[in-house]
Amino acid sequence: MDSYTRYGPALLRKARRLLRNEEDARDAVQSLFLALLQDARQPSDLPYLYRVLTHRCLNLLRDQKNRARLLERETPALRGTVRIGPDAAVLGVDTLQKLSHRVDEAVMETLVYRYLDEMGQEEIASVMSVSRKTVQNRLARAEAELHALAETELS
Amino acid sequence: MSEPREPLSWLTLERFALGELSPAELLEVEARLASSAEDRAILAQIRADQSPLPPLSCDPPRALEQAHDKRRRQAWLALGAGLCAAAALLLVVRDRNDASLGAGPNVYDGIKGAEVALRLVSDQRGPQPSSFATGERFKAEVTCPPALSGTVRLLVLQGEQLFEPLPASELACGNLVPWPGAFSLDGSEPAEVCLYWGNERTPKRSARAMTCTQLKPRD
Repeated sequence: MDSYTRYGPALLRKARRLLRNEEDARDAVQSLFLALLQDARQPSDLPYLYRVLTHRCLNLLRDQKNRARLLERETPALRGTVRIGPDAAVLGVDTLQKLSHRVDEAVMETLVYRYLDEMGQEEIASVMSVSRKTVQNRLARAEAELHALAETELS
Repeated sequence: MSEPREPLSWLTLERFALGELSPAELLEVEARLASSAEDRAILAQIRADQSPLPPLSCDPPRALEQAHDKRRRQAWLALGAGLCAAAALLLVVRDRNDASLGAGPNVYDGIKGAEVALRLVSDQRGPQPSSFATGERFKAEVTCPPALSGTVRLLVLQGEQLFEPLPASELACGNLVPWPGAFSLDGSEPAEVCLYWGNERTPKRSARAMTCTQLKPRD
């Protein structure tokens, strides 16, 4: 499967940044391509696969049944170098899981592109096929919830 | 593309490394890379990362690229015939041993006293699930004596179908040895997940060991 060989490594790196553990990252990428094998009509360019993988990883994070396992396996070093901040620096598995229960999936997806994939607003708008204004609104929502979450935990 | 003074995104750098940027994007990225040591460092990480990919099970070659390739379909039919032979073998062995194919270790002729156990671990329900839901992922763990180290196949018997959800493994037997990769099940019929020792496309009746565990559909 050519697209697996070509894009698999890039997707594995992305899954590691998001899930922070090798095993779940590998499972997420493997299951993505197994699903693609079932439906040959789906496109297989990297921006599209980035989106599909983001959804899969967010579903995994949101599911309470995975919470303990993901926290136990979390390896912060797999996050890699953080080039933007400061919010990006606090986005560990625990925060992402909690946040995923406070905002909708589109906001979470936008947040992942911004803080984990380090995309600019214009690039996020292009990948998600929405306006830049929508991206700004979603990021503002995500950041507000992040701060609210931090305050809740401090108190 | 990212805004000025923003880092180049991972996606952009990945596409750059793959040679998938348009000429205009390429010019911009090259200029940005020339002025950003951080971006160059990420690109170097991408190029240096040689982590092996997990195996894809039942890999139909170029399925995404050539969905209607007739020759490939014929190859799949040949593989299917081999797997059907394995299904027949499963039934023969099951009858001969009059053994339950439920979870737990079984003893088979040719390996007297040797216990073989297959344990499944669900990503949603943990070890030894008794049922499956569509999309639920399972890992397999095998317990077997060192004498049985060798090529082992994981087969799933579901209704009239037999399939191999993960590639054969060169197993170094031990206690709860993890099988590389994970698989999922769907459908409305119970599934029997079985271990089969040997790498023949058409398994022989002299196959030595097999153990299965059964999962019922949960949906």
